Amino acid sequence: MTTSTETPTTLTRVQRLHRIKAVHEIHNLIGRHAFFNAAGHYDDLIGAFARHTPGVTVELADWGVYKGLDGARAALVGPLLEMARRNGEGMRAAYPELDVRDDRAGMLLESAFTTPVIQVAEDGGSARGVWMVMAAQTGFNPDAGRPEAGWAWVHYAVDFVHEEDGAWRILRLRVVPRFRTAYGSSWVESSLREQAPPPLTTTSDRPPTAPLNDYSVTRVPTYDPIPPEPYRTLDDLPPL
Amino acid sequence: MAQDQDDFDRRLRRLEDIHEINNLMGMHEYLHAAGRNGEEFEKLFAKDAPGLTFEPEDWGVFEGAETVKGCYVDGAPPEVPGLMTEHAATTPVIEIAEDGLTAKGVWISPGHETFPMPDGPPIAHWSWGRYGIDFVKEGGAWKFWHFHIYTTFRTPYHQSWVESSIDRPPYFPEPGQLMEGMTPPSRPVTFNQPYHVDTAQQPAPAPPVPYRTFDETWSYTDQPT
Amino acid sequence: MSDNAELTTEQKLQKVLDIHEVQNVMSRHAYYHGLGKNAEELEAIWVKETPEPTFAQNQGYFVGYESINYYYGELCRKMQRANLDLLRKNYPELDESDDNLGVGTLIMHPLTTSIIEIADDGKTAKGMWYSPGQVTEIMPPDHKPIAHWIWEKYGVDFIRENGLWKIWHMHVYTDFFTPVGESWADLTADAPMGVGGPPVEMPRPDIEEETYKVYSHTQLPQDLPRMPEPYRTFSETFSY
Repeated sequence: MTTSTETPTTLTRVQRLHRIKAVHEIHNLIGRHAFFNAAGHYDDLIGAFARHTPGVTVELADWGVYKGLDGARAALVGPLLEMARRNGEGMRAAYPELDVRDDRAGMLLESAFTTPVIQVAEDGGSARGVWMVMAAQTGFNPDAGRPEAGWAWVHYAVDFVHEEDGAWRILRLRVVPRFRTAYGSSWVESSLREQAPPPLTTTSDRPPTAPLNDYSVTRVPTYDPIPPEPYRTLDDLPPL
Repeated sequence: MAQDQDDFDRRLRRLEDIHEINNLMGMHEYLHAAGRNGEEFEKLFAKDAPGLTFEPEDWGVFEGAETVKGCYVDGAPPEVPGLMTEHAATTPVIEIAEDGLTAKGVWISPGHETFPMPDGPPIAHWSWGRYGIDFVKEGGAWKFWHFHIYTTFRTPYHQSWVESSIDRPPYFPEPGQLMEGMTPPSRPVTFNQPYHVDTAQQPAPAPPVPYRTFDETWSYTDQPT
Repeated sequence: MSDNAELTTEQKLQKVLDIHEVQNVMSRHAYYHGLGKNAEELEAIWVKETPEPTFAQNQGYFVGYESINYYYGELCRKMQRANLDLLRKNYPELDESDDNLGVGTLIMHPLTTSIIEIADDGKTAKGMWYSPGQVTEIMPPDHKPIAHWIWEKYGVDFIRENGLWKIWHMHVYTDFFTPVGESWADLTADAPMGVGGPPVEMPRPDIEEETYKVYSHTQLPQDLPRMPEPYRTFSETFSY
């Protein structure tokens, strides 16, 4: 394992510049993903995925692997819409005086992307990155009868491709939770309680690639996702 | 023309160095979170450059590869069910020396730690800190050289850091108390000041400023000036 | 970052260098502000010559050097002195020296999730960050430190002055500011931000405008700040 990009001496200046520019474009792309997700820009969220490259996949937690742009929408946007629907239903029932019109009233989903490790392929055509994500989540909890805040820390592993129109886009995205907890409970306490079912309205195309590895008092954390090493081309990448 | 190309190459190399430093910092966090301190030490810490030092919080300064390993690897908590630690790296200020041989960086680190307890379930904590780190290039790759972790606070989930600074949880080790298996430090703490109600924050670690060569700057494991 | 074919290789390289320098400047803001050294920060990394610097928060804009120097700089020092006086009611052993300014307080606004665009002309830049932070302040009525979680976004314009990147327009968008142990999900639309109030009289913004709303039960996810997009020159883009 190496820490460095160990820029191969065979690369030209233009190639090296392309690769280092790519790092910053990827930072921007991930930043946009986070803000699109928070603001509910669903079309822009999916618009950041590869359009000309086959093999788009999205996998969140143990919800399974969703394929293609339709799968990305089902995996990313579907749960957001379902969460909003449940939120709106609960808010209207609990607070009729607020005259809630938009389902997302009182929802807040903010994700702070930190701790990047990014490797751009030697051929400049793809990249892989991992991030630690701190999240603040807020939505109506029917068991509590009110909006409830919570914390979540997850890891993102993302493969990117440099497409023919010159843009970097997301090819594969995987989210691995570390913990999720309601604000009033520590993640230890939350782990000892039954979790609410996920806001899924669709079935995945493939089973999950790994078992759920949220915090548990009986588990040792795994090294997953594995930060990328330098690599030559997209086909050399191990599974996310 | 040749000089222009040299200048271009130098600036391009500087950008690549900054990226590698960011990656190195990220690798530290992921390996540490996975309990792979041994692997991390072997691959990411300097071995050839003299003066390897490691100063984690309130334990003191560990000098030289054997002693650093004796702290960071041998003194690491055992990977047991219920243990979880994560420290994020944010807010970087990174400077590469003009001579390209060393670098300096600081980060703010929000984090969390969960410790199994002998009686009862594990206890979750918020654990925030900062990093001040000097890097050195060895064999073409950047390595940790002087690595200093500064505590901001460590507090049980249900207690604010104000409260825990006044009522220190009884199960916290005493300041400076070595962990099982940990080699004693080589010299005392240079600086570590966790939050407390009667202290003011100090400018440590200081963000680096541009510099030409390492003998013109300070080490993050020396006494701050 | 646009891959503008009209840019030379040198210009493309400089853009990437500029991105790093802009991040360094923004990070330095976090370190200065974290120490309560706002006046030093203004001196070191804010503009000195460029017209109409601004500093904005949810409640409006402070415009111009005099206004910003007072609100962001001098007032910070006044608040530190006032806080020390308050704290000494509980800790009389603390003396009134400048060494004790900031005692008991803690300010950390980490910077994450960056989106940075450098203008093609190399003269200005725009950046957006998410900041999952915490602030501990001396609060009435007990005059003791109270720890808070504070999650915010930054939208910042930068400009080159004498070859160095400087902060020109800074806008802070606060999502929530809540005492540790209390949840932002309990905030109603009319809840005041934070606990108690500042110990000194705060001036009204030069331009009073509700630019952003803190979380409340009725608040929808806000599509702010506007994300930076690639641009050629500042006259073609918006100002934060």
